[in-house]
Amino acid sequence: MDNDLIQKSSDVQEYQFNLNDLNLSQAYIIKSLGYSELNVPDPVAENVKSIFEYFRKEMKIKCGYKRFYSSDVKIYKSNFSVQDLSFDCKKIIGKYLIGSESLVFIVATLGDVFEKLLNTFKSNNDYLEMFLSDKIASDIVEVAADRLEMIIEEKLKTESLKVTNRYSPGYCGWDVSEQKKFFSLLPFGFCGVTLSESAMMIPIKSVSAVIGIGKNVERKDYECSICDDEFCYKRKRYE
Amino acid sequence: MENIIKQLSYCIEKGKVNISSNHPSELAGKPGVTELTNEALKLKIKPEVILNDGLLSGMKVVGEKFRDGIIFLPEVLISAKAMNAAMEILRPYFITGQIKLKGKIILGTVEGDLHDIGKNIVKMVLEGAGWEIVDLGINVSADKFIDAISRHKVNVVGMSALLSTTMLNMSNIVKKIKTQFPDVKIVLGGAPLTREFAKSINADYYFPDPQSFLDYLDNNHI
Repeated sequence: MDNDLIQKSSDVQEYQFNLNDLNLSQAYIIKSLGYSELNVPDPVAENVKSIFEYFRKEMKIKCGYKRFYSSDVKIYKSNFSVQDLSFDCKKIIGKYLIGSESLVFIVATLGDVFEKLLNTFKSNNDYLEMFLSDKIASDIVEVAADRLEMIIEEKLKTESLKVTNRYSPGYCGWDVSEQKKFFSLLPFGFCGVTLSESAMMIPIKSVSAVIGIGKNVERKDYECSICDDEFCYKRKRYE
Repeated sequence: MENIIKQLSYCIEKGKVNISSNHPSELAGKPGVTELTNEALKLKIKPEVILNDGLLSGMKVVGEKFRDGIIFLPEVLISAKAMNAAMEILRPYFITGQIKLKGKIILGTVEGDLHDIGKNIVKMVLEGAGWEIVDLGINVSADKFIDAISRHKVNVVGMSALLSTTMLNMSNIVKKIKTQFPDVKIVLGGAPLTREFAKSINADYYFPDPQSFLDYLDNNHI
């Protein structure tokens, strides 16, 4: 993985890798759709296989992070600030970031390969393929963010520092409109991701998140039970 | 006659589009909904019977299995694809009025939002179940919804958003629609939405999946 490191500076780093670098199998995707290998319908298995293989060949996944040190960071119960920009992350996230000494902003993206494939499916009215490619791409970008988290965690171990879970604008009560401030603190076009007027990340299959760093922080499970978004994807993924 | 209608229903349930479809393996080499629909018409079975007792009866089973957690959304889409193949064959009878769709509804992704996968899937499932869809596409303003309601005289509008920023645009759109068309039911869908949000902006319903939207439409004689 370090072979794919695109060094920016010690605090801003970008990586590029492909699907083979991720711990993600077709079986994982089949399972996340609700099937076992034994009961998956043929059209689903065949499409998952062909879409997965297409992504394996074509997709260049980019991810990166920027680290903000304690002098730039203030963390409160339901908000935090970085370089005097205040983020209203709300109490669910604030509770887990409290105790962090510094923060890392992360971004992961699949690039435009997904959109290109999706447009092909749309033009043919292939709804099953649309649904499956969307699901597969969503799984890939989350696993890519997991991988980036692991890299950060490993690096910080050398400083005897630990990390929290990752928390994204748009989830756990944190309004997605704060993406604009979030991205303003990153180099322009970081990892190739930009924002639309409505704060949507482009390319669509991208993830942004904050991670707390400190000697005494912990990676705790998402507390989906206290959130009112009963259909949030994090519930399915983490519960 | 009864046999072919039963076969049609079963092929819809299993998503067997035509004779060359390999899925499901148990029906490999056998006729699918394309051949059976054509055959039924040749046998002078009324298009209405083909639609209601064959096709929609199959989709009803699919809906029930989805609701009971026996099958998942991909299987609903596989069946809907077979259904749409049959509907294409029956299209001339809809045009002449010999058979009628259940009703017409409007769908659109709200202003500011470019996501349409969920909306498209809802469209396919509803069309497959016999509803006519006026698809306004993405980035749809209140004025565009209102114009479409006036022109198509619908009783139900479905709107979706995938972002918590764009879902806020729904509030204004719902308000404008309800001012002009208080009796039009507004149904919301999309990842960041909740029942509570729908209620808070005076929308009528929130549904987390296409099947529950379909159940609402079918059960309320819209």
